[in-house]
This record gives sequence, structure tokens and C-alpha cells, in this order.
Amino acid sequence: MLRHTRFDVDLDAVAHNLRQVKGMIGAPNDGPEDDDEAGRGASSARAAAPVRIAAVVKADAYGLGAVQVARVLLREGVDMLAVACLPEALKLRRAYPDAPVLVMGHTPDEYLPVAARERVTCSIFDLGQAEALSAAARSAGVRAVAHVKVDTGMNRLGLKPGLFEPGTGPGSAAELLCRMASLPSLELEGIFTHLALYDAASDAAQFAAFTRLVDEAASLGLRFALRHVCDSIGLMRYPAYRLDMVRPGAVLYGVTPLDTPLTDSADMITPFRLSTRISRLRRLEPGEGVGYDFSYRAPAGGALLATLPVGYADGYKRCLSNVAGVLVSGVRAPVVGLICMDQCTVDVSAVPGVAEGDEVVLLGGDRRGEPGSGVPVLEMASWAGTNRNDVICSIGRRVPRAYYEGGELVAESDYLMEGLT
Amino acid sequence: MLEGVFSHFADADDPGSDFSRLQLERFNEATAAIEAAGVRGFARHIANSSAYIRIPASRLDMGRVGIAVYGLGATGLGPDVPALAPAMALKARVTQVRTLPIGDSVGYGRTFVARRASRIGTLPLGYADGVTRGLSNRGWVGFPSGRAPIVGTVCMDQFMVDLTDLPDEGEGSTATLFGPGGPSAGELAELLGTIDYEIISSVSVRVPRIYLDSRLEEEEPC
Repeated sequence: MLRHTRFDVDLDAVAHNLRQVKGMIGAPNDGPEDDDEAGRGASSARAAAPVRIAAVVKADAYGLGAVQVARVLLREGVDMLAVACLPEALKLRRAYPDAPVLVMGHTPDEYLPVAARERVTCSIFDLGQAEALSAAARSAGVRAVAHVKVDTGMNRLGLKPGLFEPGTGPGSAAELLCRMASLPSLELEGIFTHLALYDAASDAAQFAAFTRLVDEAASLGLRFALRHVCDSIGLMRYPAYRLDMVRPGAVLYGVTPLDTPLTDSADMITPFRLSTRISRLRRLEPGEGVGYDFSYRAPAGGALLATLPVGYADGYKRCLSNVAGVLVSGVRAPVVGLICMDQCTVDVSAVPGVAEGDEVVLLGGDRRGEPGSGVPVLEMASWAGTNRNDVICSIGRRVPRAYYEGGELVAESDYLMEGLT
Repeated sequence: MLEGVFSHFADADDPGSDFSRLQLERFNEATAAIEAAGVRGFARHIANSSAYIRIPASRLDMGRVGIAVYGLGATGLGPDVPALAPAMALKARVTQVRTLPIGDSVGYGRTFVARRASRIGTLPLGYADGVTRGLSNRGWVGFPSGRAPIVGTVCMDQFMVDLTDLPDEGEGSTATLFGPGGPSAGELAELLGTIDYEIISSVSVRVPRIYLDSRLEEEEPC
């Protein structure tokens, strides 16, 4: 590594978090034997089978690094990897030739031949896409696998259940599904939707709309092997909605849902830590300003400031200026002055014996039950006025990632150095 | 060998401030003292984009021009400032359009509720691509036929825009998130209480870069 600013990822913690999810949904943690009655609430009852897991590793595993994170998740027995777009899927396909990979977002028709050839499972939601995918699979000599995305009220992406306006479809969404399923070289393996998580009543309405469509399709003879609805929050909030598969994402990265009863019983570990080292210390005279526009001036007694080689181009958002805090030798030091593109300054006046080169924790590294052990992502999100996922996946690719297993460094990844060494 | 000696201005983009002149004075004194001590032949540099444009005396032996090269950041510096052309535009195509009846909502937490029958378009990028969540229900994107407001909460990988007033736009239409044809990075920055530097440097590596050799106006849609 050629920089002091780094993002450490504890892969054991990711594996631990996955095992917590498995425990929660009653999935086997070792071997195929298990059973869970509470996990199924769909009206179309079927023989008890373990709830499967599609681990969400989109956005480069929320910034942690999809290839390394997926390696551990696959080893721990997840059934599928889920990403947002085709390039993310191809990156995983190269690393893991046999892993099922689902693209949850839209794959434009012109890229469907690539998806088919690379055995990437696409999400589709209309007949035209199904026809294009079927044709692409046929000419590639393969059988394409797809999941149908259903829009049950999020109004983002997917097939709307119900009847079509005259002239725009075959009658009902269920009939459309049957037409899609009848195409050659195309297998509709799954059907899924996404909850808006507004409140329990509207989530229930979404689930009911989804179930209605699935049941209607079943009554026409079309059954899906994998019906899935729940993301991290959903799977912890609504055990009855887990169906055949759940899609944990944030929770694997230690981001547990708020205001959810099951959160208390989940023992998730923060698997990441953004840190750097003090590049320079300087003493400010009273009234002296620091950084662009002098948004901070030293108080009456002066101040001891540390310059850190991290800035908003590293994902340390500019809105954290004069708001956030870092951890130096276990002491909270406030960010003072405007955060620059590549640097920021913190007030270390209260840190005993502080020296240049000292390690500084900017995000994560917090351990449960040990207040002050790190900088919890929830705290950072509230400083930045955003959500926790945004905080994590904003960490810039200029920051090298270091991966640990069993306390040992097992891999490093540096976007800037790719192909250079 | 000492090749260079440099400093950095704190507020060179503020024409109302005299601090840059004070910094320049201090820097000139320091470099003169170094020369007086017998060290010679080094390049002196202190000017960033704003100073280079606004304070000719600051150019010295070299300027460090960054944001101006990308065509941004030099607004409000006065009439003598050369016209800079933004070097980049962030674009995406609409993946799906749906019609919402009055009362239907959009996205996580249902933060947008349709007050009229609405046409809502989905764009396949979100905050993991650098579309700031602060633009939720506040920002807009440009289409060839006009502006479309961002509706609902920006998601990690997608966000939605209201196409009701743009009947010519539909699935496959190209939206400009910033740059020519859409809001400028500076406009977004103002909306978000930040600076255009952060807007452009936040576009994540998940977004493929396409390099054009001709002028932006001759570009084909992405």
C-alpha cells in the first residue's frame, strides 16, 4: 500500500453477520438439514425448504469490495449473489465462474446477449425483454435464466400487477407472465418485488399484491422456484415475507435496521474501518484560521491541529466540515475547517501525547458494547444528514482496501494501482 | 536539488477578500529569503485556478490549474474571466416509464406522492454512482425537451423523475444529470450547499467514462 489512508475490511465479521442472518431465517449454517415453519407466509404453501439467500453485493459490496466479500459469502454457502447492473455481474462472473449472479436492475436489450452468454440471471418485467432474452439465449446456444421484477407500489422498476389497459397487453399481468414463460430458451426461475418500507400497512399491501399475482400465475399453471421480497430490513421486520429467498445486503456490512424488534437479537459486527495517519501537526495562535475561507478560527487559548490526508474525493463528505469527529488514541477529535478534496484538519488539542504519524479512525472500527471504540456509521450518517448505506458506499476508490481473515492480512485492492504492479 | 517552492491560497475565489494578496506577499518574502540564502533556480508556484485567472501577479513561475481545466469553478470572478466550457456531462437513459394515478407514491419511504396523474421515469443510477441523496425531491435533470424534477428518495442504484410535463420523453430518452443540457455542476452544488468540485469528484468508478475528441455539442447520446 502506498498511502496511509486505508479502508480495512474484516471478512470474518462479514461471515459472522451472514451466519447471524442464517440463524434468523433458520437456514442451515452447516449442511443441508434444517427446517423453518415461521419463515413462510405466502398463501401458496409448499413443502418446507430452507429459505435461500441472495447476498446483495451491489455497489461493489457497498464499497467494501465485491470480489473479496463474495468469496467469503460463497464459502459460507450463500445461494446467489445479487448486483445492480451487468458490469458488476461480469466482474463476479470472472472471479467465480459457477456462482449464480442476479442483476436486480434493468439490463437494456442490447446487452442481453452478453448476459445470456455469461450465464448472468437478468431481471425482466415486460414481454419485449423476455423475447429479446430468449432470442439472445437461443443464438448463444444456452438457456437464459431470469427473474421477473414486480412493481407492487415502489413505482421504481417492474411489472405492475393487475389488468392492462386495452391494447397494451395480453389482458392481465399473470397472463403476460405465462407468455414470457412459454418462450424458448428462457427459464423464469424467480419472481420478486421490493418493499418501500413506509409502514407495516403499506408493506403488507405490497406483499399482498405480490402474492396475488404469484397465486394468479399459479392458477394458470406457472410456478416460480424462487419468490423473494425481503431485503435486510424486510427479512428482520417481516419473518412471514421471507418466502423462498431473502436478499440481505446492508445487514451483512453491519448496518442493522432501526426500529425493528429482531435487531436487538442480532449480533452484527461492524466489518470495516476507515483510517489514516496524521501527516502534520501545527499550533494555531488564537484567532488564526484554518483551511479554505477560514471557516474555523482557533479559540482564545490557541489550538493544536492535525492535518489528515483524507478529503471529499475519498468520500469524506464535505458536509462533515466542522461537524464530524475522528478518533485519535481513543480520544474524539473534532473536524475543524472546511474539508478539502484531499485533506482535512482535526483539533487534537485534547489528545495527550499526540504525534505526527499517529493513527486516526474516521469511520467504523466500533465494537458492540464498547463505546468510544470507533466511529459508528450511524453517527456519521446523522452528521452527514444521510443514510448509513450512503456513508459506506461513498468511500472513494482512491482509498485502498485491505482484507483480513483470522486477523491476518489476506488481500489488498487498490483501484489506482490496478495493472501497475 | 530544490525544484520548486509553493504555497496555496485560502480564498482566491473570493474577489471581495484581500487575504490572497497578503499570502502572496508573505510567499514572495519567503522565496526571496531562500534566494538570498543562496538557493536558486527553483520554480515558485502559488496560484490555483481562481488566482491564476484573477490575480496575474500570482502566476509567478508556474500555475496549478485544476478546476478551470474541467471548465468549472471560475464563476463570479468578474467580467475579465474567460468563458470556460464544462468538460464533462453525466448522462443516463430512462429505463422504464409508468403512469401514476393521483395519490400513488414513489420510492423508499413514499416521500413523493402524486398530486396529479403523473408519468414517472426511472433512471439507472443512484447514490452509489455519486447522485447525492440530498437531491431527493429537490434536484432536476435535463432532457432535450425540458427539465424533469427528481421525485422520491434517491436510491443506491436508481432514482425517479417526473416526466408528466415532457410528453416527448420516454423509455430510452437521455437525461443529463449535470453538464451541458442539464443543470451545471455549480447549480447542483448550490442546491446541495457544497461546491462543484465535490459534485464532479463524487461520480463513482461504477459510471463508465466515455471520452470524446470533438466538442460536446457534437456528441452522440450516451
